[in-house]
Amino acid sequence: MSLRKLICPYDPSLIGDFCNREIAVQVDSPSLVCEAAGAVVNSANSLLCVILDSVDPVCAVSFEDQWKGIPILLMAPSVGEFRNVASVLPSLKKLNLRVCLPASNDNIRDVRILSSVGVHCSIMFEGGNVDWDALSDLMTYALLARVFHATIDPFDYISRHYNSLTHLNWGGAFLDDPEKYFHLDKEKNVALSSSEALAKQFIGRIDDVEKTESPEVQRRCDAWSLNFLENRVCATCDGFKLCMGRFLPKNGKADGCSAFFSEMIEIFGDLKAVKEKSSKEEVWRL
Amino acid sequence: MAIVIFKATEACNARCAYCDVVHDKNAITGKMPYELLELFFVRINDYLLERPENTMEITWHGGEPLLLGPAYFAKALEFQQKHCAKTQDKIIHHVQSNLTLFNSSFTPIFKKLGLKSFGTSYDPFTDLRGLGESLDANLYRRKFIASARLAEREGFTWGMIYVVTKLSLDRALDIFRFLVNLNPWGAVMFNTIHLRDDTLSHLAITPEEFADFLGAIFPMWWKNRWRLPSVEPFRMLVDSLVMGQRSLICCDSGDCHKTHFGLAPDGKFFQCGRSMEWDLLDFGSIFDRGFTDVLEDSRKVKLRERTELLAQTDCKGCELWDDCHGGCPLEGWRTSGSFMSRTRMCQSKKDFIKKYFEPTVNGVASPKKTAIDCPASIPCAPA
Repeated sequence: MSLRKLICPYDPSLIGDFCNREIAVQVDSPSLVCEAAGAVVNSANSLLCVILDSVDPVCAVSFEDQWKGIPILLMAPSVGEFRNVASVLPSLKKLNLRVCLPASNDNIRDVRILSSVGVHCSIMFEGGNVDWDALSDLMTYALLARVFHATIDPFDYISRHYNSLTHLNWGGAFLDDPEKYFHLDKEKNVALSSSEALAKQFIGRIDDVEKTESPEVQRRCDAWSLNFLENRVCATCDGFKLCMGRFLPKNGKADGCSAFFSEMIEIFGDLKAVKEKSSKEEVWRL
Repeated sequence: MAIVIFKATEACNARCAYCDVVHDKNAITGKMPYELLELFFVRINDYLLERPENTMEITWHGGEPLLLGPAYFAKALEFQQKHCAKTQDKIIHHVQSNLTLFNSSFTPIFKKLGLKSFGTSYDPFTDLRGLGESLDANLYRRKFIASARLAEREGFTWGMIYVVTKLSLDRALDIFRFLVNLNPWGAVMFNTIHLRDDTLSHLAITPEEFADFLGAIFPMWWKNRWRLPSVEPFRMLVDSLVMGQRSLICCDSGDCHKTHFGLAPDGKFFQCGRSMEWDLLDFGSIFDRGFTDVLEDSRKVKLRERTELLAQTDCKGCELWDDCHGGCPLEGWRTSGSFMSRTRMCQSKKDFIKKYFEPTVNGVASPKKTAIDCPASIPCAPA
């Protein structure tokens, strides 16, 4: 069994109980970012990132110069007033930071703006009322726009990991992939996603879960195959390799997500063709 | 290259509606005795020593070969090592299985046999494939998908054959999408249903219907071939008609008499797997003959003459001759009662190429030397 990366709440004694693990440490206050990063770095583990869960919008977060060099994932509900963001932009851009927002329509718009001014972003969409058209515009911008912009996940993650001959579970862009990540609470209980950790839906303590490959982990990793067993509409969707059935709406109609993921696959085809063409047509140079 | 369709048992845990083996009252449901299994490897060694330029591909077939259990495969490896010390690097194993019995206990021996992938079959939408006497299709699907996932985790890939029947015709694209979504890295082969007699005539399809089934899928595969697995017969036709690189399956090669053998659990040699199932072209026992001797059998010679004859008669002037050679001799027999006639399925190939292949390919790229960018094929064992 491969050793999972861990997502833990900041607790020095918890971190100290592990060794040789890659750890993402969660804090809920900007003032704890440096301390949490230091706790991991000074343990026998390595730092994946610090996850700063902010209840405030990005514009209200006090970015500190000491954060420089620390990989930070800022989870915020929104961007807030842009005029306020603008004032902190110069220092924000010096940080090793990614801003992650839920996929409301305002956030889809704001992520594009943040990206255009050089801030790396993530937009989280996990079913529910996703505006697939708006998301599709953002995806097209993220993958095809030739003007300068910072990366936008999960689109950047997907484009880096896409392989036409495999399914792609891109939950890893949000640290949600049971094959790679375990989410822990302070008692070392394991959840298989951030939302399950939040809802305290644990599958057991990490020592037990890792002793032998847990059937629950296996079941979760293979959950996509239920689409085929139950002949769900997703099983015959052109976009399946990228969505793996995770957006099947309750009414069973998958028009929005199907068009979205099919379009993304088409874009990868176009990008592949462009890349091949440009490599063939490259002129000689000194 | 020689290929032996090796049926060490004809027993099966499934009862697929169109399978000739499981509905054959004379099927041999026991295992081939070890004495015979050992002789099989002695004969293989003799053949490879006599023809050092050749390889021998053993396609474990059935029935369901996994019913033999890991110990049986281990015994086969033992005999191979004992009798083929100088030739075993020329022996290649394939397994054609419904996979529903696969478990981790098979992994070590399959790896030792050099097996990397399985050929298998699946049908997502009909109840034609099922387990046990009750033909339980849901149980089949559950076990298949779980076992296929396990096989992947254990480091194997798999390609699949989909048998096109009357029930498939109105869902061609759904079937195609389902199969490539389920197994994006494996090859898919669409075969028309082959019926020995008329008992399942409600499942039979005409050559035109098979062409239309393929034609419903081909434009999509062609447009997206960069991201789709190898699909037969498309890939083969593209290689041949667009790339000018011909590599034909047994049915179309016109030289299956040189390459193919079938071996039944009681040691009887046949022309191939299908001839065994249809009880045609029985070449006698492995106790009495070796592979080279069988190759010189007068009926093998007759099959060679068939190719020469068809080129001058039924198929004379056919522009697809080089890609078809009159098709499977057994299908020819089914069509006319004689091995010396062409298969009626050649019409489906002609229809498909004229109605769908050429218009699609010519609309997108000029034929010949087009850069075809498809993933490499994962071999499906021949049926």
